[in-house]
Formats: sequence, structure tokens, C-alpha cells
Amino acid sequence: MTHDRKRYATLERVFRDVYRKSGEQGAGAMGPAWRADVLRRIRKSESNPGEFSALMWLFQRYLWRLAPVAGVFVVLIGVWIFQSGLSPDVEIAALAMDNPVSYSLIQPFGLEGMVR
Amino acid sequence: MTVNPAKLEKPSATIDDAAVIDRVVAGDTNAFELLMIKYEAAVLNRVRRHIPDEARQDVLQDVFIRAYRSLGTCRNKDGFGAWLASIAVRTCYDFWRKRYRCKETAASTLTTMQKDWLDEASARQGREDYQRRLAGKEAREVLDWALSRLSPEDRMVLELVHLQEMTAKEAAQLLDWSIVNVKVRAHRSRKKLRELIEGLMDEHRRDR
Repeated sequence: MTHDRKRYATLERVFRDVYRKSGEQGAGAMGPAWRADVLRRIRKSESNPGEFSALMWLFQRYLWRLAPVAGVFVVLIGVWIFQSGLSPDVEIAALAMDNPVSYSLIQPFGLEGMVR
Repeated sequence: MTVNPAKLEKPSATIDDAAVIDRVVAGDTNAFELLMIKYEAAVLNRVRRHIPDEARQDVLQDVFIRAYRSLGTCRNKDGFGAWLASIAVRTCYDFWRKRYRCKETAASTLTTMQKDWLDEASARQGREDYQRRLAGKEAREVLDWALSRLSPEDRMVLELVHLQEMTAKEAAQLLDWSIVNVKVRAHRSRKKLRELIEGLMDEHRRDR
């Protein structure tokens, strides 16, 4: 067991060194033609970094992290709707058959008493 | 429209990143070349470690195009180099994610030569022997084989933390992950690599 551990430790060191070594090889720059190509692609895309709004930045950086919370909310609302026995087809039928004048869109959610 | 480098100021390590960024954000696309010239080598060095030769140019282009597009979000303009490094690492990570999704990674098998190398390299050895084994292409091939069997997340963390020996904090900043996430993944990926290599060595021993 200890022998195997030592063997693997040796290998790990070899891997680290070979990885470093291969990272050091090659040319250090790409050249003007390559840079011109990148700039051409940038101009083609017609996007201006100045157009990037603060809201977009806020979304990219932080708001997407709230997606799981939003998912949990959707599930909770789904469970609540299922448990409260809400049936939209019956509600719509009631809307068509009864007096629509006194009908409120919040009725199906049982909130009309709270609003009044 | 092509860029005439003569029209640009001579780039140097002392160009003011913040001033150039302001110019680019104001609409002077040509000024972006100054940043490219200044940081090209650093980004290339970073990308080279993660990306195979044939895809390196495209990934490098993507890094600068992404950087250009989100330049408006670079709050700490004096820390542009670190911000760009983070974009470079995340572009490399996206490259592997895309590649794994497209199943482009060849399910390669190792040759007997590579397996023999593994067996020899793990044995105790003198300094000369060590250098000779390091110089052989088998070392990198075996490592690439093992890395190709890890998930893109494990691969990136393993490369940054174990192979490049960065701290968890540095890797977390580059990947925009939490430090805890990096630490957990680093531990798991190292264990996975070990299992892969030891499994291979056992298999080779049985075959002989």
C-alpha cells in the first residue's frame, strides 16, 4: 500500500513537471496578421463594449444565481395551486356562465377578500 | 478596414490600461490592438497549458473577442490583466465543455509503449533517468489520456490547482467559483486521476 502510494507520488511529480514543460514550449506571440483578423471579427460583430448596460452586467454577475431560488418558488406555487384545488377550467366556465361584471381575476386565488 | 499599426502608439508594458479601455469603450476599436499586443503573450501562455495545439488560435481569438465585448463591465481597469486572465481560463473551460458536449474527445486507448512508460516512470529513479522520461512524449500522452477522462470542471481544477500549483483562492478567482467549490473539486479530481492511473497500472500488470 505504502509502496503504491510512493509510486503514485513519483508519477504525480512527473505529470506536474511534464505539464509545466509543455506549457513553456512554443512561440510567445501570434503576430500582426492574427491581431488584424481578431479586430476584423470584432468589427464584423458590430457590438460596442460601451453599449453593455449596468443591468446586463448585474444579471451576468449576480442575478442568474437567483435562478435556483426562482425554481423553488415555482415548485412551491405549483404545490399550493394543487393543494388549494384550483381548477382553471371550472373558473373560466363560471366566468362565462355567471355574471362577469362582478368577476375578478384574483377570485380563483381566493384573494378577493384581502384586496377589498 | 485594416489596422495600420503605424498609426497606433508604440505599445509597451507601461501603457495606461485604464486610458486605453476608456478609448475602446468610447468607440475607438483600433485602440484595442494596444491591449492585444500588451497581453497577447500572457494570454497565450495561459491558454497553451489548457488547450491542444490545433484549437489554440481559435480559443485565443475567442478570449480577446469576449474581452472586447465585456470591456464595459471591467470595473477595475488597472486590474485588466487579472480580469483578462479570468476570461482566458473561463474560455478554456467553455472550450472543454463544448468539446465534451459534442463528444469530440476521442475515446483513445493507450499503447503498450505508453503503459510501459507508466510502469517505469512510477518506479524509483535517478536524476538522469527522470529527465529522460520527462522528455519522452509518452508522459504528456498518458496525462492527456487521463485528463480526457475527467469532466471539464474536474479537468480545469486539476490543471490549475495540482498541475499549475495555484492556491484555491487564485483558482476560484479565475474560474469565478467559490473557494469551497474549488477545494472540494480539487480533492475529488485528484482522487479520480489517481484511480484512473492506478487502474491503468493494475490492468497493465495483469496483461503482462
